[in-house]
Amino acid sequence: MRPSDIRRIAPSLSGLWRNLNLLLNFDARWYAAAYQDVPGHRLSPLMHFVRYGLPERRSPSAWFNTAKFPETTVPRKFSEGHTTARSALAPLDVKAYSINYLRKLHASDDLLVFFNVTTKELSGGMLSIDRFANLALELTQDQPDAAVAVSGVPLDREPVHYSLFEPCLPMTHFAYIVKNTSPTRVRLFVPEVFADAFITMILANATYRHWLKERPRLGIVILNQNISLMPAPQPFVSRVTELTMDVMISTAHPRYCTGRLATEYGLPVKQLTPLLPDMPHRSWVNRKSVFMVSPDVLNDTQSGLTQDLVVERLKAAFPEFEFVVITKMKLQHYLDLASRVRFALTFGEGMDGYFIEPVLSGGVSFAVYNDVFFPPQFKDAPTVATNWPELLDLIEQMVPRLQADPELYDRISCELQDRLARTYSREISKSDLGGLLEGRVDHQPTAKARQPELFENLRIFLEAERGFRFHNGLPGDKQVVVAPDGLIVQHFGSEFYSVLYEIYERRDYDLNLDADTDYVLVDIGANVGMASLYLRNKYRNIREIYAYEPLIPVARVARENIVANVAEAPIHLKQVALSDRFEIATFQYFSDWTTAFSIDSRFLDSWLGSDEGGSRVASRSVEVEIVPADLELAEIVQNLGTRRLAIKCDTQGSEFAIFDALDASGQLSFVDVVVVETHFKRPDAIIETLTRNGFVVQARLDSEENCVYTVKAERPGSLV
Amino acid sequence: MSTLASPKRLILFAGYCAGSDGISPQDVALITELARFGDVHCWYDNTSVPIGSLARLGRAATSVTVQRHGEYDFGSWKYLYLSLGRDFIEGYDELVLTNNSLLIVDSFERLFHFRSERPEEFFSPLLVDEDFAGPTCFIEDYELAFDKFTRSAMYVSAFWNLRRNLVRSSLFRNFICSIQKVQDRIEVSHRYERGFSRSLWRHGISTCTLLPRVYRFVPLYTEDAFMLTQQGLPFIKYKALSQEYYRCQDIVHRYRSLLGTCQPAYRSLIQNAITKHDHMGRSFR
Repeated sequence: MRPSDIRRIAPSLSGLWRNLNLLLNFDARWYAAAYQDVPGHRLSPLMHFVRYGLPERRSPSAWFNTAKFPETTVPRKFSEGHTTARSALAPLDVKAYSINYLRKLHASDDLLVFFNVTTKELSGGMLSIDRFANLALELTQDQPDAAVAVSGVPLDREPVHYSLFEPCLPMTHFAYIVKNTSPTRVRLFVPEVFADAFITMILANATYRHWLKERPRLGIVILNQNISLMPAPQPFVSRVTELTMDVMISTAHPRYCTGRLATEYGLPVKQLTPLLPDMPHRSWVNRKSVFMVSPDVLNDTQSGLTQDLVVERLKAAFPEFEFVVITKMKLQHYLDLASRVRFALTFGEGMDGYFIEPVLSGGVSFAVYNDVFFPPQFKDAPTVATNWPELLDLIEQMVPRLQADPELYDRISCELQDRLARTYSREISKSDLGGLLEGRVDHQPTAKARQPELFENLRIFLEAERGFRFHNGLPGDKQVVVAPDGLIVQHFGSEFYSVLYEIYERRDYDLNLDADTDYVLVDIGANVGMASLYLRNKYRNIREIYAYEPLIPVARVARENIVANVAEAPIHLKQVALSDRFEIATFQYFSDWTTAFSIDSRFLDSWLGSDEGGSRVASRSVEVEIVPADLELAEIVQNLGTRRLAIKCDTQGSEFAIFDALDASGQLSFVDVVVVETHFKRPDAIIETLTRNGFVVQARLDSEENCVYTVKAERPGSLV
Repeated sequence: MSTLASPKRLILFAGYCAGSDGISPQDVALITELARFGDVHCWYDNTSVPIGSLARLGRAATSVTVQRHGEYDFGSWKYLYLSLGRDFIEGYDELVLTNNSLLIVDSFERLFHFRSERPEEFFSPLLVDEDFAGPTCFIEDYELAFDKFTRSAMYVSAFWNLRRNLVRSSLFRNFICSIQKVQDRIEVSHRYERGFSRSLWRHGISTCTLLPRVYRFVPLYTEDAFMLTQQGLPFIKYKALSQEYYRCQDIVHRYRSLLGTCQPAYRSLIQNAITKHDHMGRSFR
C-alpha cells in the first residue's frame, strides 16, 4: 500500500470515517462483477477500490450506495455549540494526576499542550509525541509558570489510558484545560493527520475558539511526522490563521525540512528530530536467532511482492530462525524483543522504529531505501537496498555471513549506529525542541515569485526575454502559445512552461543529426506535441515522426496542434504508452500536470497529490493501453529504408523498461541519436545499454531532488 | 524633541476631534510616542478644541494648529506642508504622514527601526486591497497574480514615510499641493491614498512595507487587525474596534487578547477606547 492510498482512505478525519464505512461494507465479488475494469486488473478488488473506487465514488457493495452516502459524516458533537461533555468537568481520572501537577497546570501562564491520539493501539507517531511531551517537561521544569499537558485528538473523544506504553503524563481532555486554565501563552502541538479536523472542530466550537482567541500569545505547531499525511496547504492555512498568525510546521525528517515546504504552506518550518528510546546494548552472542518483522503491509507493484511472500521466502532460506511479527505488543516487551533479535526487517517507512530500535541496541536491521524518510547517509548503508527483490537477495547473502562472523555482525551494527547518530540523538532532539520553544525556525516562507523553478516565473521569462506570446483565457478556457519559431500550440499551462524552457532555452532535445541523412523521429511521451513540432521545424531532414502520447485528453490537443502546424513531414500520433509489456490499465493523472503522467506512477502519486501551493487540481482516472516498445518500433523499422532513427523519450519512469526492450530486440542498431530524460533513479542502466550498443553517451543531472537526468547518446564521431 | 540623532524626521500628524472633549488621552499618548522619533507638527481639522485638551499634549508636539478645512487628513498634511514651507520640510531626512485614526498599543520602536534599516524611498506598514479575498500571500505573489493598477491596491495612508529624495521630487510636491476638498472619505481614499500609491509604482519609486504579505480585504478593519499587532504593528485602528466596515465574530475575546499583548502603559487607554468605540454594546470587562 502506498502513502497515497492511505491518504485516499484518510484524507481528513471526517473522510476517514466515511471511507471506513465504505470499506467495512466492501464485497469483493460484487465489486469485481459490477465494474468491468476490475477483473484481470493487477490490483486486488480491495486495493482497486482503495485506489480508484474511492476517488471515483464507486459503491463498495450491492447494499451500499455511495452516491447516497454523505461526502463527510461528522459526528454531531463537532457542530457549533458549547462543550457540555462530562469531560469538560474533570480529567479522565483525577487520581491519575498528582495534586502538584494539577496545581501547576491550573496556575500556568505558559502552557504547552501536546495532542496525542485517543486510541489504545500503539504507533511510532504516538510514542514520538509522548517523548516530546516528556522532553518539554524536562526543558520547562525550572520555569515556575510553565506547564505541559497531553490532550487527545480527535477533540470530541474521551481521553484514553494507554495500556501498551507508560505515557509521561495522563491524557487531559481539552475541555478541562479550557475550563480550568487561563495562561497568557499557549502553544498547541497537533499531529499532521488530525490538523485539519482539529481546526474544524476548534472553529466550530465556541468555547474552544473563544478561549484560544483570548490568549494573548497563541502558537500552533503542526507536527509533520509523515509528509504524506499533511493536510493540503489550502484551505487549511487560511483556516488555522483565523485563530493565530503564529503557526509553524515541525518536521520529523530532515529530508522535508526545506524552504520549499515553508513556501508551499506559507509557514515557517523547524526540524524537530524524534527522540529515540534508551535501549540496552546487546552484542551478537546475547541475541537470539529471531527475525523481527514489522506489521506493515507491503504490496510492491513492481515485483509483486507482499509481506507474506517476503516472509515465506526468508523462512525457507533460514529455517533455523524464528520469525516474529510485531502485533499488539506492550512497548516494553517490544523494546526488549528488539534488543534480543539478531535481525529486523521493516515493511513500513523504512527509517522507522522497527529499523532503528534493533540497531540502537546493537542489532542489524534491513529495509528498502526511500528518499522521503531515510536521511541520505543511508542510501549506501550495508543493509539497505533500492528495491524489494534486491533486498531479499541482500538478506539471503548477508545473514549467513553475519551468523557465522560475530565480529562482522557487531561491526555492521556499529556502522548503522554511526549513520543513525548523524541524524538522531537525544541532544539533537533537545536542541531542536528547545530552539522551537525559543522561537527559532530553520526555514521562513518566501514569496513563490522568488522560486526560480516556479512555472509562472518561467512564463514571464519566456514572454519578456524570449519573445513567446501567451494567449490564455481563450474561448473554452483554451491556452495557446505562439513560439518565436512561429509554432502555434495549445497547451495546459502549469508545467508546460518548464517544457518550453527545456526545449527552447536549455535545448534539451536538440539533436546532432547528420545533415546528409534522412531521419524518422520517435517521440515517446509527446504530451501536446511541442517537442515533435519543434524538432520537425528545426531539422528539415526529419522526414517522418511517430509521436506516442497515452493520455487521451492530451493526445486530443496534440492532434489539434499537429493539424494547426502543417508541414511536409507527417506526424503520426499514437495514443498508447510504450513499455516492455502489454497491459490495459487505469491510472491517475492531474490535468494541470499532464507532463508528469506516468504508467509507472508509484513515485509520482504522493508527490503530485501533495499539491504545489494549494493549487493542485483533483486527480482523474484514465484508461491507458500499454504496448511493448520493441513491437511498436518493429513496424517503423520495417519501413525505414535508408533512413535512420532518432529517439526522444520522456516518460517519467518507463524509459528503463523501454530501452531494455529495444536492447533485447536489437533495434537500437537502427538508431543514430537518442535523447532521454530519466527519472527517479540513476541512469546507469540506460547508459550501460547505450554504450554497449556503440553509442557515445553524455548525461547531465537536472534535478538532484527528483533524480532527473538528461542522457544524450550519439554514434561515435558525431557527438558535439 | 527627537531622542534619536539620526535620521532627522518630520512627522505631520493629521487629527480630528469628533466630540467635545478635544484631544483625547489616546492621541496624546500616540503623539508623545511619535515625538520620540521626530518633530511632530499637528493639524486638527476642527474649528476649535478645548484649551485643556491642548494642555495635555504638553511639549510632546512641536506645534499644534487647529483650523477647520474639511479636506480630511490629506488636507491637514497639505496645510502643514504649505505652512511649514517646502525648504523647511526638505531639510529633514524623512517625512512621516500619520493621523489620529490609530490607537497606540505598543512602542513604535520596532516600526521605526525596521524602516531605518531599509533603503527604499517610500515606506508604509502594509499594502492592502479591499477586493482581495484570497489566501494571505506575499506581496510579490500578489503582484504576479494581479494587475495592481486595476485593483484597489494601496499603501495605507495611516502611516506613510518618505525619504528626502522623494519629498523633494516634483511627484510629491505636485501631489501634496493638488489635494482638494472632495466629496467623501471614499473619494479621499481612491483619489489620494490609492492614487499616490499608483503614482509611486508608475514612477518606479522604491517602496517597502513592514508586513510582507497581502491579507484579505483591509485587515486593519477585520479580525486580522487584532493579530497584526503581534506581527509588529504598534497600533490598531479605532474603526476595527467599532467594526465599522467588517463584522468581527469574536471581538470581545480579541479585546481581551489585545489587553494581554499591549504595553501595560497603554492598557487603560485601550480599555477606555474599547468602551467608547464598541458600538455593538457588548458587555466588555
